[in-house]
Amino acid sequence: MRLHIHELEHSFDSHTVLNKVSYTFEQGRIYGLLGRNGAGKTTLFNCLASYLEFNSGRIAIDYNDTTKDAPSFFESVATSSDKSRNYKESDIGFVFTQPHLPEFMTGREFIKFFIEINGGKIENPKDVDEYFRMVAFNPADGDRLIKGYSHGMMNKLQMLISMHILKPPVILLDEPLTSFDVVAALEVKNMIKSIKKDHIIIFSTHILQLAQDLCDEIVVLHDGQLRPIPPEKIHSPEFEAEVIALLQEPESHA
Amino acid sequence: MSHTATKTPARTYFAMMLTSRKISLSVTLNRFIFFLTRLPIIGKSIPTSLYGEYESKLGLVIIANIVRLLKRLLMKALYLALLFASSMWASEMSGSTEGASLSSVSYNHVLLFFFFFSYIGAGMAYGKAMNLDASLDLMLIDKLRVDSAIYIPARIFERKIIDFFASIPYAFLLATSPEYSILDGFLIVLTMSMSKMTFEALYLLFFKHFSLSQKRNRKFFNYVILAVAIAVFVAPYVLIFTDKTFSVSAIVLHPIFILGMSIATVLSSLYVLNFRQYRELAWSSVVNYNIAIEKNKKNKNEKNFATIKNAIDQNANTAEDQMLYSHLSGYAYFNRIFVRRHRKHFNKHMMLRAIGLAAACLIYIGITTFSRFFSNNPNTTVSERDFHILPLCFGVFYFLSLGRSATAAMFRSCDSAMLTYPFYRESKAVLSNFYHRFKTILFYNLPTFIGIMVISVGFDIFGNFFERQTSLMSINYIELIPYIISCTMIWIFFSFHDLFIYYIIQPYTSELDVKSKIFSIVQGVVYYISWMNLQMANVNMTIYMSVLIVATLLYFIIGLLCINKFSAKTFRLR
Repeated sequence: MRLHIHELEHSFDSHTVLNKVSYTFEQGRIYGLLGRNGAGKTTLFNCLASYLEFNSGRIAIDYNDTTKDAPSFFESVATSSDKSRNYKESDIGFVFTQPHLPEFMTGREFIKFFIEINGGKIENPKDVDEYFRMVAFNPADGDRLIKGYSHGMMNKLQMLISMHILKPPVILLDEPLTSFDVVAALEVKNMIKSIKKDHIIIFSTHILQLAQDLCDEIVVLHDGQLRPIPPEKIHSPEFEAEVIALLQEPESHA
Repeated sequence: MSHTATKTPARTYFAMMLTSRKISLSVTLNRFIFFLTRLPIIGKSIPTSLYGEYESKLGLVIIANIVRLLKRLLMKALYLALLFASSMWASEMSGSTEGASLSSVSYNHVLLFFFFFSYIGAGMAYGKAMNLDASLDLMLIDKLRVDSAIYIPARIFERKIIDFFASIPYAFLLATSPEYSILDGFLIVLTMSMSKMTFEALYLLFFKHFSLSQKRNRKFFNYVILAVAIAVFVAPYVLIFTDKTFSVSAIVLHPIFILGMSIATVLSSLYVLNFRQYRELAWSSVVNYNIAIEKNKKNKNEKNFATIKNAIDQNANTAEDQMLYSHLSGYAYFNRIFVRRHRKHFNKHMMLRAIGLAAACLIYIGITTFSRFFSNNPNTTVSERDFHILPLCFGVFYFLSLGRSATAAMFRSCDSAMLTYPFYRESKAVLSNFYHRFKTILFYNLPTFIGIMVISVGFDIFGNFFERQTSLMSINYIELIPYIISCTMIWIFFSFHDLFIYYIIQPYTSELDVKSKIFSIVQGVVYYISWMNLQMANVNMTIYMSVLIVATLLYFIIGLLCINKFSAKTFRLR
């Protein structure tokens, strides 16, 4: 499975954030998306997750791994317009920095509700407590109102929904380890690594060390373009210098 | 730059005045450009690069200066009109013919108001040191870190000079009276400016000796100022009513007064220049302002959701709830849990409304029963009476409907999070939730519906029975039908309306802010219609009920069609 982005463009007023971005993400790999503040990482995620209508370009998921690159794939697939997606919103799981959960429900009620609503899309639905154990969430806390949960607990619930229950082909994580303690952060990292083989995982971060630790590939978003860092350089001593040099290049577009 | 180390040359103050003028103008221009970019249609063609095009802005600078000048002159003119009007009104109310009309206006009475309002009131309440402007002064001090020891005195002098020149038209106006010359006018304007300067120094004196940077002292001082301001405002009226006015010109044009004011001004100016606590004064204003901003921001967000801030029942017995609703699933389950967790909040509101309406009914029955036994003059019959209560019930329902509170709770507690999930935005989900919620709001508005039906039917149809002991057989029961239908349509309208515009407009942002002008306009229109209904007690009821039923029915039907067709696209997070 591959996620193809082909000449994706998006602007806010006269400021171009994504400038004909093209890239192909592959299943079984964890991609780190690095970029400066305001580079467009969240914009890119919002375009992928269909929260934002981009100006032009195409995004598509090649479920059957028919071609290796986007132009070939898009030639083989008929599309009705210049700006298009060939996938459903539910094919993209989005883990936000700030979790979005209904405060008036308990964790258990919300998971139960979520499973019922999405029943047809869930393979081998499990018991709620079993799902809780997947993310090291204490089942006893499942009967408390979400309003009283800590940030870490809410994040775990969100990850449970976005990653484990529906198992969307593409998972986007926007600064996923913000406000996690050391133990929780390790649990989450291990969780992400354990599920990567069946998904395309892209997460955005500012922390180079986290990207080095977790990612198989690193892609830098700068000047409206995605530029990969060669995988062999990720763990090299020059990695940090190379990334910073890339991010410090002057921007060419307004 | 240290103010205490050496004497600051005058040119430094002038330079600071000029700089603050330029920045003020720049801020005004940028705000104007921002306003232009927000206009519909033409807004998009205004380039944001205009903010940086200094040459282009030069033309706007001239326009801005002229507009400012005209605005200031207009305000002065309005102020003068206020003085004249106050003088005329006071003269008329006191029974005096002098000054009671435009043709006989007493210049002395006008000067009396001018003396109290401008010499004392404005000097006391509108001093620059006491009222540092948030958009310019505090911005320069806080964000641009200008030296407040130079900036504030520069602004004080600048304000006094500008005020003096802007008040010169008063002199010319006064000279239209045969009693006063143009010189008299100038002297009055001059001594007024001197008075204001003296009050500036007085404030600084109070600030220093009464530690006005401390919150408690500041608060007490503000109360004192308020009390004095009220006294100053009321004084000219009292003097005119009690016929104890004095000749203002005899005082303010007296050489001793002018000399005294001149000495006071010189001393005040020196005090202003040598005051040592400007930094303390500036920073206490900045801190208070920032605290007020934060509080206002919090209140602004909470204002939209103030009534449902603590609406979720945090002591809910969740285990019991799960057993109670174990037979439900999907959105039925979801919405029942929502109502259950907010039931205390909704029940409380429902009870208050029910109690209020029940009390109104009892009071009405009590009054009519009382008047039946003790009144010698029979009331007019219901059919003879022009006054009907049904239109008032429409207006009352606006205020009692739970629709607004319910939709706010829905967004804050539920939709602000759930709308981030794709499945929740699907058409089926949106419609399912809508109908569940509509039923919920109908249920919670039921007591209000019953209340208005009882009141309107009781008053308009059974009024004779209550008030004149007529027989129940004499009542025309056919009239009940349009009343019941009208009340039902009012109930449906208010239960539907808030939910409908919530789904079609969805005005709330993820930061719990309301960002939709259309929403505000629609709410304004409904408010206006409801208020107008409160004035319609004397309309023809046949026409009124016909229009009400047809209009609300059409609104409901068209609204439902819109919900089915558009809500999946419109019900999104902003």
